[in-house]
Amino acid sequence: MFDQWVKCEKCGSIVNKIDLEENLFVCPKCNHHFYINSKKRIELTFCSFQEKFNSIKPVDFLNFDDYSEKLLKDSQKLGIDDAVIVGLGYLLDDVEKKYLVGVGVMEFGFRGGSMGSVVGEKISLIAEECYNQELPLILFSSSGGARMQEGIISLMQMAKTVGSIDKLKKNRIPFINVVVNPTTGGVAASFVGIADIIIAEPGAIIGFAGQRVIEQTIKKKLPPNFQTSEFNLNNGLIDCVIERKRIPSFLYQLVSSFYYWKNKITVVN
Amino acid sequence: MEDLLNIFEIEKLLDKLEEKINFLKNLKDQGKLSNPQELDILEYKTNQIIQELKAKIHPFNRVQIARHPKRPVFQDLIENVFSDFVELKGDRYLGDDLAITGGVAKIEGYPVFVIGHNKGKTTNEKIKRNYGMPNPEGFYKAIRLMDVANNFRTPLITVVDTPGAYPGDTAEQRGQYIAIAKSIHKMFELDIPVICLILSEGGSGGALALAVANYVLMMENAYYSVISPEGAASILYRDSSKAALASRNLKLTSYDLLKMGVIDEIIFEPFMGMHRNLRQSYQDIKNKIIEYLIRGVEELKNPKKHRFERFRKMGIFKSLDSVMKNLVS
Ligand SMILES: [Zn+2]
Repeated sequence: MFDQWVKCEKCGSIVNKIDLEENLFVCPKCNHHFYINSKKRIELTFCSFQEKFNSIKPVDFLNFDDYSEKLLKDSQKLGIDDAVIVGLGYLLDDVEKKYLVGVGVMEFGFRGGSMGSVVGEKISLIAEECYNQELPLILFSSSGGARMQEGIISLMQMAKTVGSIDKLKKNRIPFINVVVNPTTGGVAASFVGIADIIIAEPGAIIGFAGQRVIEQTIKKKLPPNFQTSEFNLNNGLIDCVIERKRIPSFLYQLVSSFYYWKNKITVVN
Repeated sequence: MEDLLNIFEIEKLLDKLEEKINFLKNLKDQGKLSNPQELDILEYKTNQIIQELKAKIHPFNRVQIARHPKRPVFQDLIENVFSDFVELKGDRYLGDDLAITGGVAKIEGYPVFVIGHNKGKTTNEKIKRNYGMPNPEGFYKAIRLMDVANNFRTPLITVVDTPGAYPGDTAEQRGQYIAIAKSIHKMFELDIPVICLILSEGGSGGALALAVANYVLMMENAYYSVISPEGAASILYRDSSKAALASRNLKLTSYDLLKMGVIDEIIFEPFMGMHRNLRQSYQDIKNKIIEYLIRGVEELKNPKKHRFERFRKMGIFKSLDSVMKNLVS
């Protein structure tokens, strides 16, 4: 009986699981956006999706403690090889399948969504695919930052992904990033930070340094809304905060704008 | 002394006449109007009064109409001219300046980006939006969104309505002049058609920062000027009450600017301002923007080059080169 009900992490309400699922895993009482895994996210956002570059697998090249075991454990639990799924798809509202987009969805459940070589490579590859095919790129970020177990090579993924996205920018191909709770550290400070449009779900944490580190450094308590989507919006750091159920249609509005004009406005030098 | 009309008195008179006309029209509709000519005469006379007053309208009267408390602001255009608006905020750096609003929208189904000065309507909102006077972060937000529009290959509509960039100490510290310069610069880099509407107040550099467009449209009663009439009066005549004189000399009306080639077209307004017939005004704005949007998409082979050429030829001077050539030959 009990597993029919879940307690909202935020307001403490007891919510029926079926009601919660129907509400896209958003608390009907307090609008708290629950974690959903990357596969569910794809299902809720796209009407069709084809994964790409899934032959790329992580390697414990530093022989870092029990990294290999942790990788194995997470991949067995989630059925994925690393913290991002990339591919090509059509948005939910695009029933006619006219507007193909490049997609990347990060998985927070896998090593806290941390970015190592595989995440960096897959993001770069899908960005390059978008560049070659002139497709808009949509990424859903959710990450604690760079992956410690891959050392300095993880830090380098920040530069690599920004470099790949820069090619899109120079060729006027839009890149939209949807921030999912939480998006911090090296992921926030690389490709997320240079997106054309940054959309965030309500209440998501977006920032660079962790709150505990900041509190220890400045020796002060942080306000409760610190680093939330709303805090970011008011400080001019992100474009908009949009509820989960409205995100697919807004993405469709943006993508269709690009496709509508793409071949109508041509620049002749 | 300048010969100013008292626009508020005129509005009262117009209100009375309109009320009477409507009253008679109602009677007529109910078949209770004993002398049908009465209505025709009143309408004829009203029109005559309007024509007479129109001829006497002073440039500063237009400035007054542009600043009229009932005049629509950019927010009204977002709601009544555009549809499907989603606001995109922030400069990704210093903050989110509410004096400028931007986002994606549609106009008659066409997807566009819109950016404009936003004065606000209620007193609270006006304070929050700093009366449409941007700080540097406002211009940086505009610059950022121009880049986004360019990357989405989507035409950009800008709406100008500002007394000017905010003349504040912190604005200066953070480089107001650099922000304005960068915004002007950015507009020259865009590969999309850009259409600008001068809605009401086109106050100097803060206005130009959003007005480097392929086509510049202007409301009949808007003004667009290198300096506010008050500012000019206090510098030139050491007397800010001589704003009317200054506004006549500055040649800041839509008619003046059309003659000088600074704007492409005037959007005409009901007598005494667009607030006297909002529905019609919104429709006229919508039609003109769509007309120029289609023209921009169909006719401009290279919007960036066209924009450069449009502004490259601005300047009125005489050159002695030809005189010298004639003397030599
Ligand atoms: Zn709740």
